[in-house]
Amino acid sequence: MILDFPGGVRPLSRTKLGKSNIEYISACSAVCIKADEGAKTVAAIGSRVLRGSLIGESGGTPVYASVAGVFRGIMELEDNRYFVVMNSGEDGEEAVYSPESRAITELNCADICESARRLSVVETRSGAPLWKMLENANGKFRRLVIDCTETDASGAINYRLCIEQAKALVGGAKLLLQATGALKCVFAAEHYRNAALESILKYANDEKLFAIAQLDEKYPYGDRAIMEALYLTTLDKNETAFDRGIFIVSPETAVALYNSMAQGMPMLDRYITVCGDEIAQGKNLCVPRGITLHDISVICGGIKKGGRLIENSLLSGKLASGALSDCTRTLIAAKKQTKARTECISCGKCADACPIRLMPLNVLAGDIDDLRDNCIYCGACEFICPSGIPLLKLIKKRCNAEAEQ
Amino acid sequence: MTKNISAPYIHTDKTALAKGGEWLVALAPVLVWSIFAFGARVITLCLIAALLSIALDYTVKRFVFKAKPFARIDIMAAVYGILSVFSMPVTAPLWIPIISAVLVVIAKNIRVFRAKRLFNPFVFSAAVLNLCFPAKMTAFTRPFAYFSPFSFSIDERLIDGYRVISPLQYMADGSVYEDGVLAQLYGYASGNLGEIAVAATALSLIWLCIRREADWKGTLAMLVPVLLLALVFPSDDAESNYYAFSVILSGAIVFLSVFAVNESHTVPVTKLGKIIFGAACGVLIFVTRKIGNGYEWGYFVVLLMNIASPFIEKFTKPRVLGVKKEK
Repeated sequence: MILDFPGGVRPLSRTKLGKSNIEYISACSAVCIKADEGAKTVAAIGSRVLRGSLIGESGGTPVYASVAGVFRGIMELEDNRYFVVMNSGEDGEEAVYSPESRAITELNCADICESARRLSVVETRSGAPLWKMLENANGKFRRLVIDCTETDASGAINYRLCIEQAKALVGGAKLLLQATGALKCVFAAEHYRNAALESILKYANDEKLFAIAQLDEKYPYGDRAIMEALYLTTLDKNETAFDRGIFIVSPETAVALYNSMAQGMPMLDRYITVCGDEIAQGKNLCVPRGITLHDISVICGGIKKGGRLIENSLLSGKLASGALSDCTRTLIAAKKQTKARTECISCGKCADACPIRLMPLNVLAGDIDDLRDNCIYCGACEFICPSGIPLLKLIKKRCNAEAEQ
Repeated sequence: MTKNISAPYIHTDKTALAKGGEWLVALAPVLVWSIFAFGARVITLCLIAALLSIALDYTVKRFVFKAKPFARIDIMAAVYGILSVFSMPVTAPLWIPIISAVLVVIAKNIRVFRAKRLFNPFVFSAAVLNLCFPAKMTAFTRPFAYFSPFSFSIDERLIDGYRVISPLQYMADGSVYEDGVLAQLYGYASGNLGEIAVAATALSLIWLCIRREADWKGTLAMLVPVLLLALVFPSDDAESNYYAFSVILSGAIVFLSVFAVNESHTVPVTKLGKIIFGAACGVLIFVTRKIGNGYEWGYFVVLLMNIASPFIEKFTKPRVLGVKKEK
């Protein structure tokens, strides 16, 4: 059964990258790993580090060099702070921890939480460290959902992960089930991606523990859509799926958790799709964490003139800058497509596309009470508008103007 | 420049201009039947109204609203022009479509509440023409009596030679059209150009629904109350089932339920609002037909509901997801 949820827009085309294998990239010129305000360096600045060496600590989570090279300390770039490691041909790897030897059933929540912290596993849907989400998780959660949907119709990385890393994915899911105390794990994916779900089911053959869910092919997905489609529950404003006892993670997180614990190697790699019309060659990549966007564009054959890299979604994503952030799963090279604006024809398509049932066309008449309080800025209304009215821009502008008054 | 760039980076390939194309295609079956039944004069009438509507609309947009070049041409103007011709008899003199084009463009560009149109353009034109020239707008002749496409106005004596009573006029006399429901369904009965072709109108609705330009629920919401009311309040002159279907198929009910209820500017945007709009139109049309005498009140009912539509929309706003109801 295909599960539906309110709102959302159907993509114009399906991705062609579903069939291309993940390419593993280990070399890059520099990595910039995000650091918070209270970040400390551990390795000496200017020292040579190996891939996997401890270089610092940020927010209670250790930070490891994801490429071998010279550690340059914490630098500030475009309002962000980064741990920077420059590579000039160095090579080498070091494992700081020994692989986990206990069976999954012997581990408890605290063990897994501690491992996730030590191995600096991040949850790639939000970019937050996994251990903070798992803290005191035991018993709080009813269900674990592995969100295998893409952030944008042009992405394919979660699909490839399900196919190529199915064993690690299911292993990671078992670890997370053990940690959260959830009773069942659900793999949710777009309905036409049967190959992914079948490949998962090869390993996840315990019907009591695992289930699959096929979602309608509409974007954007997200906590809200998953809750609506799977559990027919509407999340209240400012409420997260966590508050309702549903633990949602990306497949990459589960894969990283399993692989890290099995090999004793911290989470050093990120899985991303690089795609779009403005890039020479779209690819599914496994790249060092914090790789610079320059390196990514070189790997993919360069971005065409006028194209820009956009994070996660063409509907609502921001322009990417500097280095790959922890919550980016798809990088899309695109030009801003402008559409000639004509007058509103009151077709109501924007209201149909709104995932929270707002009426975006009301912004034209100046009625923004609902929009100001509830809009999630997903961009679906502006995408679907046949008249080319920049609805999202207007809503942001009106709300900001009102906030300033 | 960088600051001006913001999401979304893609848009659908559907444009507002293409909407006019979809509607033109939707009009085709009705137009074909109309030409078949009433001859080439229909083409003349439609061409005058369509071309003049586009030209006048262009002029208004260019010089009054100072619209940008790509926003000046609106195919929907032609669609409304043709629809306004559909609610005339074939005997209409050629100056009638000229007036209707002017009326269409006026109604199309009047904007009030929430930047919406006040009146449905072609219904407005039909209503005004019916008020001002009742004799010219009700000179029905029998189908397949073809008139010259080029004569400016048709001789009264010639019209009288072919004049018949339309099903709606029968009803006004308290009797019922006798040639059968099927004649009315396929369009062998007399009446206005587009309104007789009920079966062809159904094809239009199917096309519009496939292209997602129309919502069949609104149409059905208008037809069902009429049918039920006609069954509850039958005529003494005919069997109740026959009467009920004859009521629906006579006059402009089906025509309006497809083309007026799905005119996006003048009906509520919300789905529930559309259903309420349709149902209210249906009930009011039936009531006015019972009380009023044989006149096509449908146009006025639709105009009345057009005025009410912003209010209907306000009351049928969907509940925003994730916001608790205030007690």
